[in-house]
Amino acid sequence: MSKLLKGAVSFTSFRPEGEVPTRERTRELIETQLFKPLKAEEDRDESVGWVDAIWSFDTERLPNLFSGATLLLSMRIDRYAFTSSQLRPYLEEAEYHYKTTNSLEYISAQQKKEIRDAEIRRMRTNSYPKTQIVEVAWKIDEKILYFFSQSSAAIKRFLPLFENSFGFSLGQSELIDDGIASGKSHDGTNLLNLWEGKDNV
Amino acid sequence: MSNSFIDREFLLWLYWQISEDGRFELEDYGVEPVAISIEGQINLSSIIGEGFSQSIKSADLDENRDVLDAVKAGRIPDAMKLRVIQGQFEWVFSLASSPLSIKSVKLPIAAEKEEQDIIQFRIESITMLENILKALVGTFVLAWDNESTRTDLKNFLAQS
Repeated sequence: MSKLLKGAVSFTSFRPEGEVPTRERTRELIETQLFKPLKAEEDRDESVGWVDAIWSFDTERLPNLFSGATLLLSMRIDRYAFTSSQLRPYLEEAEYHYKTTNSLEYISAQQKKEIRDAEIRRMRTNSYPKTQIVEVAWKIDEKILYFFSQSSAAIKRFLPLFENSFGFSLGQSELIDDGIASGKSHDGTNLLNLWEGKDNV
Repeated sequence: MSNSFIDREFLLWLYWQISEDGRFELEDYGVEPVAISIEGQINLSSIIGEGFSQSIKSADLDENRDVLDAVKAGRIPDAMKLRVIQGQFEWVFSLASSPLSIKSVKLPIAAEKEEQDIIQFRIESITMLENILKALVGTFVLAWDNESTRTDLKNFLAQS
């Protein structure tokens, strides 16, 4: 179930640094980066794109895109990844059969690569990719965006997806910096001035 | 400005303040008062970065002797599990350092029934929690600039 609805959450805060387009234009921009499912016969190992915030299978209509002044999305990552241990028995079997069938003592490096690629394709047709879904809530009026993950790998994929969609980047919001920068002392002095040069007391 | 050390000083100050009475007046930051308690776990690690870390679990960690002994031995908090209460709202989460971050937050329970209302409530409660933390950081910075605060903290730590 979507973290927007239930359960404990971890999140990373961002500050969108560009102008927000109209709702119609927002939908058009998002549609350029919708999630496209991986196909076993494709060469790409990973697909990243937007899906609906509540219905992760919905990659076209996005019925929950707006909730009041908040934009809701999910980033979906599908990835085929097989470990060496997973591959080993199938590769050894395929190489054994190739050598036996062709009466060979050795297999060339090029042939080994072709056998490996063929086995990976075969394994992909018999398995599902690993899926990761991360919800995003963008409070447009307040210029705050919550990304419901703190994984650096997920953030690494999210930032270019956002930038490719909206044409501007996101600045990560740090609690300690924001607390210092937004705070004021009783006499109105900004805490940033107070704290400057005192980073290692 | 490097804030990795400030993060941990903030957690030490917060631990001390929770041990005092755990009530924080944050009106200067436009935030309603909060009551904070430690929720069963605190992690401490060496101040000089030699890799030693310690996790202390107890039902009552406010002014806990093991924690004070660990601080005296040169370790300061790098993560704490906290319960924050503001009026009828309650959050339980881990507050970690480097960078200062909120993890695994149990958000206040939404009274709303409609999905869209629940979403709005949950997102708003995240913003409320962030604002509380920012106000606490602001309070800490102001307090830390005051010499008497440091003296009081040293006296508190000397209790062990």
